Amino acid sequence: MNATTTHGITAEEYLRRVRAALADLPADEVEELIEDLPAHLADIAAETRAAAETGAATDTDATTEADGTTEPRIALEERLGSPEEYAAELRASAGIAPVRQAAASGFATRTRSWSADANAWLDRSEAWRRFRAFAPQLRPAWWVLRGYLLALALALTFTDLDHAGLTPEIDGELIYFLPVAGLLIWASVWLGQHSRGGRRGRRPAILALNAVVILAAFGMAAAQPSYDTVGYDGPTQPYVEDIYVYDADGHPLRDVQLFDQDGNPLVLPGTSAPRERADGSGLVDNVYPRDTNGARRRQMDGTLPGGPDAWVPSGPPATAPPLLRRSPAPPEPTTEPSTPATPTPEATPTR
Amino acid sequence: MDTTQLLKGVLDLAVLAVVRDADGYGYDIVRRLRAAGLEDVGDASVYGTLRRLYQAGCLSSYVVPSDEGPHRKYYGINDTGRAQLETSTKTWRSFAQTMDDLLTTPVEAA
Repeated sequence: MNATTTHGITAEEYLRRVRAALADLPADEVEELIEDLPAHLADIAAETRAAAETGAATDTDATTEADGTTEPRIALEERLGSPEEYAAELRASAGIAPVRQAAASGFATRTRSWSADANAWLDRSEAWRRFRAFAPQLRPAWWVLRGYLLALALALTFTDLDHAGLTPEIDGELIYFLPVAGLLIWASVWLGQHSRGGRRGRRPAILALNAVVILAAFGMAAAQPSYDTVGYDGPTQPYVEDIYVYDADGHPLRDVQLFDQDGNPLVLPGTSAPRERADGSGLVDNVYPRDTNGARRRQMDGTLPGGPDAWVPSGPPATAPPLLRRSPAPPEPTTEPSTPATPTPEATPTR
Repeated sequence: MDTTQLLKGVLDLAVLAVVRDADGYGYDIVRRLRAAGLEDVGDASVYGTLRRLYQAGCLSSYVVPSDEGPHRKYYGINDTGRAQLETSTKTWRSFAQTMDDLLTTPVEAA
């Protein structure tokens, strides 16, 4: 027979588990309650060993140790009941009142013990211990943040205040938001200062408030601000900042004024190159090519700076392939917008 | 009938009775009780009862060093314990008599 198949537990294990089952009692009381138990277990062991030697034992398992001695492993649990039962019987007979306080709140006990285990595990980490020592200093910051978040959540619920994530938009509603936020921050800080060592009943309420605020903060941070969903979609094509124009023969054109279908000047983003109107009526910025890139201008001139092997940014071609001429005048397009085909109301000569 | 339930009520009396004439340590007392026929007595119950009687002032205790194995805590009865034993004995006799009568003599229907 080997040790792994031996049933029953050792005396030390038995003692340990009895002690654990009495752990809610004061230490000196536990000691008094079980001070006789080691001797008792030893007595039972001796008794069982004697019985085993005469072959009369029925409730023992003999384990042959490496050194050849035979140590009887008593089925202590058969003899005394489980350690927990032993402890319960001890309590009951000794008249110790809360025999099984844990039975009524098994879940709470399990949760407490789980959380104690988790804390013990975390405490093994140096970084966590440092964080825990440092964290209390952050409390006032959390109180302020809590007040602010609460005010923002209330403002978003009851007013038309716009927000981008966790910051309110500056508009008419902001003037009402700021005093409310100030008041709630003050209240939150007050609560933080007075909750420490306060009445126990208040603690769950504060924890619940914190949870609500944190959830609301996640909600607000995740919500898309309204102005983000409308408005400029941005260029769907690669970024365009200049336009090079070629005539039908493929020759580059200079100083071309561009307008859109409504006759508005077509102004691209990027480096602007305003030009003055010939009649002195102002500047226009829809004249292309802007040619703000020196490398490209030289390429437009047909020469490569630094010789043919030098690197130049990819620019426009010096000439474009000529187009096949359409001999007669093109027919009138049928799907023309209502605006004139030649939108040149503001196209005055530039100089 | 489960005698462990009955034992609970009379264990104090039983323990006082077995230390009346000779002091004993825990396991000693367990064995005396078993030898007397209280086979079902639990070890833990005896220890718990000893502790309670000791705290109630019915028992005195002293530790006897042992050459082999742990020291043993002996319990002995004192005057308070004897008085308690006497009172409890009377209570038990009266109770046992009542029960005996109840079981042997048919009760007249009212």
